[in-house]
Amino acid sequence: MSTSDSTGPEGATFDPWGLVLGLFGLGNLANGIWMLVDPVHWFHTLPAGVPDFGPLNEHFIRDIGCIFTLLGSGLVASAFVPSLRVVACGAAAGFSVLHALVHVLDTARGLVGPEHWGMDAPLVYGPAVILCGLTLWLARASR
Amino acid sequence: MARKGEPLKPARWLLAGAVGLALGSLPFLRYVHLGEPVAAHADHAPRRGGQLHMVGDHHLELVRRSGRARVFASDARRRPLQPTLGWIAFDDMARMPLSWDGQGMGAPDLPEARSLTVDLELADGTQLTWTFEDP
Repeated sequence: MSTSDSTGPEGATFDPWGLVLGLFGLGNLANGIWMLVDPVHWFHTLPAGVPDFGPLNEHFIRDIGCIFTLLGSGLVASAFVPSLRVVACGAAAGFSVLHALVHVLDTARGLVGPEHWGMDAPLVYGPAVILCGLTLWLARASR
Repeated sequence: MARKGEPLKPARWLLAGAVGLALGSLPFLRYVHLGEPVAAHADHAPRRGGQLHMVGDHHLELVRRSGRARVFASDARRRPLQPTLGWIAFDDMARMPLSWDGQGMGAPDLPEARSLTVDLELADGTQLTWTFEDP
């Protein structure tokens, strides 16, 4: 996939990388807006087992919702503006790595049960590695 | 990766769509459990190095450390709960209220006390009472 397959006016493009980043960004954006608009519903409804990690705190859910909204917006923007892609994907990868380290800490210290090593592997640790690889790939492709 | 000017095949767009959807859906997926099932009453390990007991379908862990007695409530699957009210009695004499500290209910400890009785009320009205001996 090229990073500049169909250049439009003012350098805006949309290519397969744009589709990847746009859909990725929309998911993050939807999650962030959900956290901001209805944190109680998000806490109890998200399938990821959020209550395992502690009681509901609406304020902190909204705080994290700001991060997801910002990351999602950046990724969606980068879908159309290739010069933003490495930065947007790098920010998402950085957040994902730090998030994974928090899960390692909380599972290692026993805040959640040891079953979380397996539970978190596909949806926390795996994506952190994938996003780091994706960022490196985009950085190389942009040269 | 296609070179600039080379027409893109539909397969590339399909692949991009699939990867994008997979990444975009990450926050909403149910975690896959690869180990033992997370069943009710399958985990009785103290999370914080204290003394853990079952009270009905719930769990209470008492931790005495740094001059404080702290109680952590969790449900049958060990999901943390935030009680609305709580009291603690030391050797059935001194009785004081417990206050929420962000993770558990706590009060100043009386280190010489050997028997600590905890009363908690949960948001749904459930009352949890347990006496910890030599915690």
